Amino acid sequence: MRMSIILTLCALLLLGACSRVKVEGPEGFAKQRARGDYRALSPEGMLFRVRTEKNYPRKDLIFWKQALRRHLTDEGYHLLDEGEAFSTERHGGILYEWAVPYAESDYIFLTALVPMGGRIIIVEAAGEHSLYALHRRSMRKSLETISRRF
Amino acid sequence: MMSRTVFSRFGHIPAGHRWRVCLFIPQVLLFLTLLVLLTGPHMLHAENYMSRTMVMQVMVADPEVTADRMVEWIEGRGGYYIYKSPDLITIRISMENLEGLRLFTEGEAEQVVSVAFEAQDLRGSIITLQSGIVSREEILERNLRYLRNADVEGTLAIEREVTRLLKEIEDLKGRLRRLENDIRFARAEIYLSFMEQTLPQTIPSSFTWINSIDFYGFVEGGYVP
Repeated sequence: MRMSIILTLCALLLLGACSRVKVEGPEGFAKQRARGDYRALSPEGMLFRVRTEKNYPRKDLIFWKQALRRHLTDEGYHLLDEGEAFSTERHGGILYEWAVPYAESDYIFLTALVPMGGRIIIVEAAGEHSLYALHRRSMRKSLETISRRF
Repeated sequence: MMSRTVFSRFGHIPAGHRWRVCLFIPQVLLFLTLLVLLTGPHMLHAENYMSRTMVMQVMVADPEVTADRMVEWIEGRGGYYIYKSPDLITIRISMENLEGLRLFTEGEAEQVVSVAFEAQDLRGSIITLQSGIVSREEILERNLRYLRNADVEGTLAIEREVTRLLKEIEDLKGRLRRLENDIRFARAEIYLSFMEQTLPQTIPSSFTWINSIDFYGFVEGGYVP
């Protein structure tokens, strides 16, 4: 009896850790099985990933967007524009796009974050700039559908 | 009758001096007109001592096609290119078309990485060159005057001096022409790809989750086209 309770609790904890995010993937992307994260691939193989991290120390969007921007700029990423704010059903988020040289080409790295209570939803996508431009609108639309699954 | 009416306004001026007053007004007007005519062009010229440069970094779908389209656009507006490759195009274009070029480039680009404008005041350089030319021309003229009365040895010495002065004057005039061209035509350097050669480096953050944001880790964790 005690063993079954422990197992049930473990299973619940595992489920909680794995499926913390709900999102409608970008149009035309194929959803990929992934533990915990949401992953989708474009027909060309461009990855769109949504994951969660613990909001620790617990801070709001203003704090985290400054921290992320500062950190990636210090690392040498080149920020395009000034970042774009967006809203999900209940929360606000920020989208940053970074230019990065990779494999003798120009890539764009998308980073978006949405603090939701004790968790931070992190979205990442990257692709060669022409390919990125092709899917940007659908990825941008997808960001607004992010919510937490409890 | 009419002149009497006009003069009645200068009642306090002695009758013998009234004609002088009437002539004084057109003289003042003539002086002011001449002043505007003489100082006007200088004032305009003073504003045109600025040389401007625009540096843009953009990402385009097909750099070669974009470069060709840009050349077509600038040539249609009296500009020209001095270097063209799939990575970079260097353009000279009139000042008034510089903003149009920026808008056109933005329209052609998938992504504008950066735009920067620079301006340089060439007044000092131009005045230095102009005074250098004038002083050398004066020395040249003086040397040519001495040439008439010089003996053979003196003639040879003056010829050497004249040759040196002519070379210097031509050199200064060439530099002046280049600066005048810099004022007339803005310079635009348009990079058609992200030319940053330094790759991002990993710097540890105090916030654990921020350390997990890494482009290379992300793209190399899966297939990225």
